[in-house]
Amino acid sequence: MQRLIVVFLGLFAIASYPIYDIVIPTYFPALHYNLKRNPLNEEAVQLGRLLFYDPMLSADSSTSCASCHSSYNSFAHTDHKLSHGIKDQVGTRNAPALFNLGWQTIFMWDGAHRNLDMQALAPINHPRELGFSLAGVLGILQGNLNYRGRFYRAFGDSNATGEHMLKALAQFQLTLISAGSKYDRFRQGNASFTEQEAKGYGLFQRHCNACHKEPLFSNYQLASNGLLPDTVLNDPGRMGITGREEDRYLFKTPSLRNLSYTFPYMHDGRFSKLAAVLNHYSTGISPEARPSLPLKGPLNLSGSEKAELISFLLTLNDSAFVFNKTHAYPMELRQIWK
Amino acid sequence: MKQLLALLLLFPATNHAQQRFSFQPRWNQTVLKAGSYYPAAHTTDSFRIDVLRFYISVLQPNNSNEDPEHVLIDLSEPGSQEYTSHNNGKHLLLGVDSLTQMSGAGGGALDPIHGMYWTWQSGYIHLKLEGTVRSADGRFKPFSYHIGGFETPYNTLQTLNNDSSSLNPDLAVFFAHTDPWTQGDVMSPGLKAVTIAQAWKACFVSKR
Ligand code: HEC
Ligand code: HEC
Repeated sequence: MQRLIVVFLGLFAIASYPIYDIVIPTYFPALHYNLKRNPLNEEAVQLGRLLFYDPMLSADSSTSCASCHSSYNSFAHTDHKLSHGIKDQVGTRNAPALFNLGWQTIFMWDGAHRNLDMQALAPINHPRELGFSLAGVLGILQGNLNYRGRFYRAFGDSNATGEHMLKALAQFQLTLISAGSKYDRFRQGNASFTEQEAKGYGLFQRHCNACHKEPLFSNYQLASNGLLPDTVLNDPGRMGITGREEDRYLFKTPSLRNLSYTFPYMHDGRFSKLAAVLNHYSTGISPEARPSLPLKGPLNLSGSEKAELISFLLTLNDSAFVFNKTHAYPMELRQIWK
Repeated sequence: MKQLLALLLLFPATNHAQQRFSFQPRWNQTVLKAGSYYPAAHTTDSFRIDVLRFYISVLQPNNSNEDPEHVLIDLSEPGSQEYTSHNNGKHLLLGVDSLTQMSGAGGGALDPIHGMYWTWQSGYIHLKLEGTVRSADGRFKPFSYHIGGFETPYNTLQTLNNDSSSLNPDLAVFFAHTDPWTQGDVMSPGLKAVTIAQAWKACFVSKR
């Protein structure tokens, strides 16, 4: 039995806007993002998609959001431990995957951002990412008739304002919903786990679910999973934002959906294989990195337990999401800058 | 037209009394001008202000579910220093209220294009104050205060009692509480920002 409800996210849109609908599984919690302030509509989602893929958002027109957040990698940056921005500059952190952002309460590895709309100001201004400014981006969009028409259709105002640009980017990103994995089919009663996967699920619930809470596979809180900082980057995590010693080593717990597409793992991309991640949880947890509960120390998993956990984690891959064409590069972008 | 009707239905008109506010920066009794040095009573230093921009939130009464109003006041734009509120709000905040901070991109005064939002972390900058201090023997030091932060324990939001509709901040009071020689640059949330926010509040309350 299909137990899906169609949530009309556009319910609060002003009457004449098209209504945008997204299917959300019943077992997902309530959305955190307040859609009343930014009702989804097709025009704004498509505008956001264009902006997301448009390299004109960077100072030297070389880099777009998608350069670091590729749809084929579940919007992460594979093969690079640390992200690459304009002029091939290497950043200090691994670009995280983007999906189910409407449920996410904190953004960035250190939780520096609390709101999806405003998060985009960070890469636009970051010298090693897009290296530009909001005024610079808006000036370029304002000078393009095609974009102005799109702003008008999306928001009833042809001016490319900061508010509307950020809301459009957020709208596109909110449509990146991953809920089509084998795990989801299992929850809906449409698939069953193999014995190995089922055992892995049990181990997962015992050891991992406190932080990587299902069905989103994160509680979107800060925690230490016992990683000692990389000696070169020496990233203090949350402490870099608050300056408080008790926040050292705390990072945002990432979701574990789509791991086959999002390697390398952790804030500094130090592990390229899931086996290495499990070795860390099994024997590598460092008491010095003050692991958060329920992690007190190494979990000492057996070889077969690790294999079972990995086989369960692979049921969280959502290939339909990764290859969803409506999230991919929009061909209209070529016309815009003709 | 259809859209207008929908808007009217969504936001039924209410009969709010209008309130006029004046937020005109001063140095003691005189109107503050950007770029001029002002002598202080408590020291032989004098102070020059080049940038002064700040937010005020006009909160709605508790029983109302309307959004607060936000005003961005700029020393270089006299027009921004007069404000007519359309709500009955009796409570003013120095800065952008926390609920608004958490609710995403805003328009008008809240549009991040005004440069009053941090980019590397969440949060509006409640107060931007930049200038130079000059000592009696001719030494100079520039200062920059970008004050914000709305999360505990470093919440920099300050409440004002608007028993008067003239809330002209007196910057001479600010420098009686803050020494730019020892604390010249505070540009991120934290304990220092909280102290500066208190000096900022004092500008509105100590004398009128
Ligand atoms: C140069 C590579 C790069 C570019 C370009 C880039 N990002 Fe990112 N993105 C990152 C990195 C690295 C992080 C993690 C930053 C941190 O934790 O400090 C990140 C984090 C994020 C997050 C938070 C995700 C989470 O789970 O916390 C979102 C959302 C995001 N980026 C969206 C965007 C958007 C929208 C754009 C374009 C306007 C963009 N990014 C451009 C590298 C990039
Ligand atoms: C105490 C909370 C906590 C527990 C319990 C926990 N994790 Fe984590 N996990 C984290 C945090 C925090 C990170 C990010 C750490 C970083 O990058 O510094 C993380 C990162 C990961 C990553 C990397 C994901 C990515 O996209 O980079 C994987 C995979 C992972 N954990 C798997 C597991 C598994 C499997 C378990 C159970 C054996 C588990 N975790 C238990 C908090 C936890």
